[in-house]
Amino acid sequence: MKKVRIVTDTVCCLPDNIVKEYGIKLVPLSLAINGRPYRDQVDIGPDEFWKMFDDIKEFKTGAPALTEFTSIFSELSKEADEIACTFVSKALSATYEAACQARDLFLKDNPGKNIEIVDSRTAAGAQGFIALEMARAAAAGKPLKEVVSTASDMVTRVKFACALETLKYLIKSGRAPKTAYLGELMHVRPIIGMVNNTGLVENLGRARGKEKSMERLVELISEYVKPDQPVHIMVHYTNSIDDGKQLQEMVMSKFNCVEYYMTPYSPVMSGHTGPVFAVSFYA
Amino acid sequence: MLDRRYLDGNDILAMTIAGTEWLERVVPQINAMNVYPVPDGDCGTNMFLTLCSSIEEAKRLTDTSQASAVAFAIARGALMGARGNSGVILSQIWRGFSEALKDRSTISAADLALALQKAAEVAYRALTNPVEGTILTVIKDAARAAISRASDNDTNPTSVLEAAVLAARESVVNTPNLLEELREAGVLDAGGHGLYTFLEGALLLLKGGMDHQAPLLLSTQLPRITSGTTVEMAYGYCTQFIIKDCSASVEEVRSALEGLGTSLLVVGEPETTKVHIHTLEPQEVVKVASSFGKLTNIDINNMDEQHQTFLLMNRERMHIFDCAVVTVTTGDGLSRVFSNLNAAAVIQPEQTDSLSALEVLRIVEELPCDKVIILPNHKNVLETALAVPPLTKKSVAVIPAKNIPQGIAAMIAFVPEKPYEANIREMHQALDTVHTIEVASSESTGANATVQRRITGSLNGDKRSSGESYEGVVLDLLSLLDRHQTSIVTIYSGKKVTASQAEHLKTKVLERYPDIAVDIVEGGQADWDFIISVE
Repeated sequence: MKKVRIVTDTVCCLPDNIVKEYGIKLVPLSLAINGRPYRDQVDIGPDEFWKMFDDIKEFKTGAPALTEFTSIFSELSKEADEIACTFVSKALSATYEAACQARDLFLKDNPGKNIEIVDSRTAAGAQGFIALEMARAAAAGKPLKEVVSTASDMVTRVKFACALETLKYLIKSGRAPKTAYLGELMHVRPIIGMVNNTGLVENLGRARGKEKSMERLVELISEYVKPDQPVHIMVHYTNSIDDGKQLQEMVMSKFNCVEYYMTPYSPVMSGHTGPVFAVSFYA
Repeated sequence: MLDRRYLDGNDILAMTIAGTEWLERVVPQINAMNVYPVPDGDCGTNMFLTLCSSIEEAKRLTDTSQASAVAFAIARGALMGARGNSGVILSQIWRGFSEALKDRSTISAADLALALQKAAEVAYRALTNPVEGTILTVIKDAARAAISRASDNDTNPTSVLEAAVLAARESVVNTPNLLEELREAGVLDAGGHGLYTFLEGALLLLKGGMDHQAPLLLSTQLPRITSGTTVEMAYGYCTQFIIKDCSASVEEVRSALEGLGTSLLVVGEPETTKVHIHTLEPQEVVKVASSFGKLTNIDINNMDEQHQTFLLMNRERMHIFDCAVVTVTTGDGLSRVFSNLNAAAVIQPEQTDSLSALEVLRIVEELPCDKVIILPNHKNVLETALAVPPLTKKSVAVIPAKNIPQGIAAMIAFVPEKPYEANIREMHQALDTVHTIEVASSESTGANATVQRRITGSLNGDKRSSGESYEGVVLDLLSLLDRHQTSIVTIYSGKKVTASQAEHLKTKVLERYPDIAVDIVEGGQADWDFIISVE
């Protein structure tokens, strides 16, 4: 039987061509906008989402339906006996739990197969990088056990930081760090992220204005990456691709990027954070 | 959503249990925001235990289908088990509630609203001097909203309760505007919050379950220590008991005990009279009270110990953080800005030059942290602050912020989760990222008795400008700065200037610099008409 196949979810922010190239399967998270259900990146993409943004009265997200997992597992098992998955931090989403349930269901009917699930303990491109390295290990013919150990290694290396325009969306979603800024002084952008492998969103500070918050993100990278050290970076944007480009320029000029992408947040992420720019990286 | 027009005794009991369980999940947080009347940090616990006693009493009923019987049992249980100020007031809320439901086997939306109104009335009557901005205000506002919803011909009890819960939430958020002690400590009223959370739990049950995992906390701010906090005051003993078959009326007992302490509450009937008082002489209170009848359920707690435990509790909550920031400012608005940016203490002296190092030291010692960063924010406070480190065993760093914008820039750079040294470094660096314009005005009487106003301003404490209008001086000083490095201008308006003067200045700045952001914050400082940060 052939190689190990990789599954992650739509929070991963990987560019489409990479997803295609490595045959990575994305399970769509569920979301509901003003009561209407969508599958993330399937029924709604970033452009449609931002068109609707100002009219959003109610935003809810949920784990993918179990059938979303089982149908992907079935499809993949036609050509592979082994599947390795990583999903958005289980401290932030029920996706991981749902995946485990779906796996148990699936394996009951398909006893010869193997499915391993790794908690990414992160989100966005940081999760994407884990999935990508797993896919590279699989493409290199590594067995399931090694693909999983690649994932475990990556989990401890990837970092993710994000400058929010406001905390109000994250507070609504119940995912805001407790000490983050909540005051009347305008243009103070909370900087949050996941850099300590807690699986939870951490408060990384704040900065006044767009430029300073971009500088702060760059500084954050340099806390973990030396100037000449090869680094993999993914810049994320939401409603302004220009913000993404501006941050991209700052990052590219400062670090030795051996791998670089710029991708938009998926609707599920954007709904929780509101307008942001962000960066995922590992050295 | 429960779409029923009547609730019976079983519903009321189930709602009470749900509300109590909902409250239980945030008891520590409610305790932590407890500063009034005494910062003893037990408000949430007291309310929870009082409610447990209610539920126990109601469960003893052989038949829980009658609304009036259940409400009466809940009220009785609350009275017998009432703990602390908030517990006793809660018991009076239940008493009013049950009185309104007398003889009802089921209750309608209108009954529910009337019962809440009666609950508020009885609770107010329990106190000789009802204080607004407490649980009393919250039950009153909730009841008012319930009455208004019911009088809109809404016959669904769930929607009446929903109106009450929403009003209670708003009321809790408004408590600091009504009560000075809360405003100073930067917290919401704990008892009011407890009541809101309880009602929300009851509502969620009616609506078909708890759809979020934890009750909404309307604020997670820890009480801030300010120079006004009267921590040295003797707290004495929280003394509570029940007088069985009391020979005097509630009013008579109240007047007999009145001079013996504070936070006095005497409630109930002659058969069971509940007494709650904060006193330095519990033995005297017990002596006087026992002349009216037999005392039972006597409970005497040393509040000084409770206060110490409370400080310890907050220390534990803060323990994940390495250090805390003490900052100095004049003006309520500026104080709020600092506190929102996670300053642990804001000292607000009458005048900056009247602040003594000992005062700063007292605050530093009191903070539940061994490493403290001081932001003086004024030239004349800087020296005072520098005198503090040698006076204490704690590690103290002074970040030489000479004005408010520098202080705020440093405060923005502060991250509670980061280590002390890293914070000191980042906060130091932040000082140079902002320019400061300070503007004052003076009036003099000219030769022919005309009053002349003179505006003077400075940029970063040295370059000066003067003139007759605020905008003239400010624009003059702004022109000295590199336009490319200016993206946000924040105007902190002082005590002496009006909102329209600030708006006018903002308009003028925007006319000259249309592509920058200009914000106004009501600073309330006495020393400068305007403080302007440019970054």
